Amino acid sequence: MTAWAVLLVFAGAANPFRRRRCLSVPDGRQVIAGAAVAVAAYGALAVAGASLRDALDVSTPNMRVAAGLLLVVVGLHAVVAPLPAAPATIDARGGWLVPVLVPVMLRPDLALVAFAADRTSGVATVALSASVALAAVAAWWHVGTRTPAAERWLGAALGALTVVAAVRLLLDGVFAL
Amino acid sequence: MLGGVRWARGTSRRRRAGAALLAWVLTFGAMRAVVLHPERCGTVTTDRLDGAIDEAVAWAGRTLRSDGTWIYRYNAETDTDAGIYELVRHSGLTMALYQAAAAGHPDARAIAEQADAYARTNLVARDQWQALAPLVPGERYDIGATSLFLNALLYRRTVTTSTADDALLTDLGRFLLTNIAPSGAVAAYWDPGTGAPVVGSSSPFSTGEALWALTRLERVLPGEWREPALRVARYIATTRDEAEDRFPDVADHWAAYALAELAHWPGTSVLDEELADYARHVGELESLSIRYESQRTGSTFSRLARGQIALGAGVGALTEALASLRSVPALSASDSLRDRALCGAGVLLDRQTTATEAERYPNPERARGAWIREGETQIDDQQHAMSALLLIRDLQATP
Repeated sequence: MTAWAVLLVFAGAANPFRRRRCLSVPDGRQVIAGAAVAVAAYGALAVAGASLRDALDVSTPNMRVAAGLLLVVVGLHAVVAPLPAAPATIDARGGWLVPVLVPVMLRPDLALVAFAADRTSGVATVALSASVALAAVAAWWHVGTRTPAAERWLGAALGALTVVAAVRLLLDGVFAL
Repeated sequence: MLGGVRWARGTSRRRRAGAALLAWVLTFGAMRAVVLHPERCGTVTTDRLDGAIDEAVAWAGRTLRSDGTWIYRYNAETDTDAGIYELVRHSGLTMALYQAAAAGHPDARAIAEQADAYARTNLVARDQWQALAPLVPGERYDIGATSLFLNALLYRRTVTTSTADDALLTDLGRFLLTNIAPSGAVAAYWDPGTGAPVVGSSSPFSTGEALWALTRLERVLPGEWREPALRVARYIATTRDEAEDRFPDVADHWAAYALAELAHWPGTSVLDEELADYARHVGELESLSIRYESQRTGSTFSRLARGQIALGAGVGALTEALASLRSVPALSASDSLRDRALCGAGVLLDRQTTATEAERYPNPERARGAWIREGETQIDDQQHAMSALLLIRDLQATP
C-alpha cells in the first residue's frame, strides 16, 4: 500500500477542520487522550488486519478497494456538506471516550484502511499516519479558528484531498498483483 | 480526567455512542454486502489436481468421435451437439492433451494422437510453408489454428521424443512468419484468394498464440525464430493495445505463456524492463479478474451483485496466465501472484462437474469432468482448465 496515500487518506478523512466542533469537551487533555487511544486502536486493527481478512476470505487488494470506495464518499461529503452543527458540550470524566474517541477519532472508514494494511510495513505506516492525522485534529482543536467560513473551506479542501488519495488507494487495490 | 464512562450524565452521550455504533455496523455491513464478498478459492491439493486433470482427459476421450473430432459445443441439459466445428479450439484441446501426456497422464496421449491425425488431414502446403486450412474451402486461414497446432506438435515432440515432425514444425513456423508485419503485428488471417495476410486483421489472442509458438520453436529448433519472436513480443508489450484499439487492455494469457518461455531461453535474458513491466501489467489484470471471479457463486444474490460465473475457458485462461508469469524473474518471488494462481485452480476444481453432479443430466458421461455453465460446455472450457491445472500442478512442485 502506498505510504503517502495512507497518510493522505488518514489526514483527509480525520479532517481537523470538520471535526473540531464535534469534539465538544472542555478539557484538552481528553482530546489528546482520545487521540492517543485511537492511534493505538488503529495500530491494533492493522495488526489484526491480516487475520481478519483471512477469516472473511477477503484479499488485501479487495480490502483496499473497499476502503478507497468508502473514502471517496467520505471525501465528497466533506467537499459538499456544510460543517456539522456543534453539539452540546459534555463535561464528563469519560469525555475522552465519548465524544472524543467515539465518534470522532475512531472511525469505521479509517478502520477499513487499517484493516487493509500489509502484514509487514503496513502496520507502521498506519500507526504513523494515524499519529500525524489525529495529532493534527487535536492541535486544531487547541488553536483552530472560530471562523466558520474558513473552517468550511479548509474542510472542503481536505475533503478534496481525501478523494484524490482515496482514488489512489482504490487503484492500488484494483491493479494489485 | 480518564475516568470510566458514566452514562447517567445524560442522553446526549448515549445517543452519540449509539449513532457511532450504528455507523460502524452499517458501514461494515454495507461493505460486506456490496464490495467485500468472500473470495472462494477452494482447496488445492495434488490429489484434487490430478483427479480433475484425469477427469478432463477422460471427458475428452468419451466425447471424441471416430474421425478424431470432438463434440464441439455441447448442451448438457438437452444432450445436444451444436453441430459446429473449427480448428483453433480443436488444436487447443489437442495441445492440452499432449501437455497432460507430457506431465504424466498416460491416457491423454492416445486421444491426442487421434485428434492430431484429424488435424493433419487439414494441412495445406504452399510456398515453403504449411498451415491448417479452414474447414470450409475458400475461407480465410486462421493464424490461431496453426499456432496452437504447432504448439501441440511441440508438446508431442516431448512426449514421443521423435524428431520426425521437425520439418513440419519448421513449415508451420514459416507460415506464422509470413503473417508478421515489420511492426511485429500479426495478421489474424491469411487470404487464400490473394495469397497474402489480410492486412489490418487482428484478434485479441492470435498475436499471443503466434508469439508463444515461435518462442517455443526457438528453443526446440533455434535459428530463424528469434528475431521475429522478439519483434512480436515488443509489439505486444508496447504497441498492440493502442494500435489495435483494444480497451481495456488485453489480459493476454498466450503472451504470458510466451513470456515464461522467453525467461527460459538460453543465454543472456531477453526479458528487459519493458517486457518485465508488461508481464506485471498482465499479472495485475489477471489478478483483478480472479479476485472478482472468485466472488461469484452462481446464487441469485451473487448473480445480481457480480454477474454470472465465467466460462471454464475464462477461468482456465486467467489461471494459465497467472501460473505462467511465475516464471518471469521479476515476478517469481511474488507470493500474491502464487496465491491468485492457486485461487484460480481452486475455482476450477470447485466448478468441474463431478460424477454425482453429472447424474442430473440426461447423458452423464458427456457431462462428467466438464466445466458447464448455463447448461453448456465447449471444448476450450476443458482445454484451458486442463492446461491451467497442469501448470498449477507444476507450480505446486516448486517452492
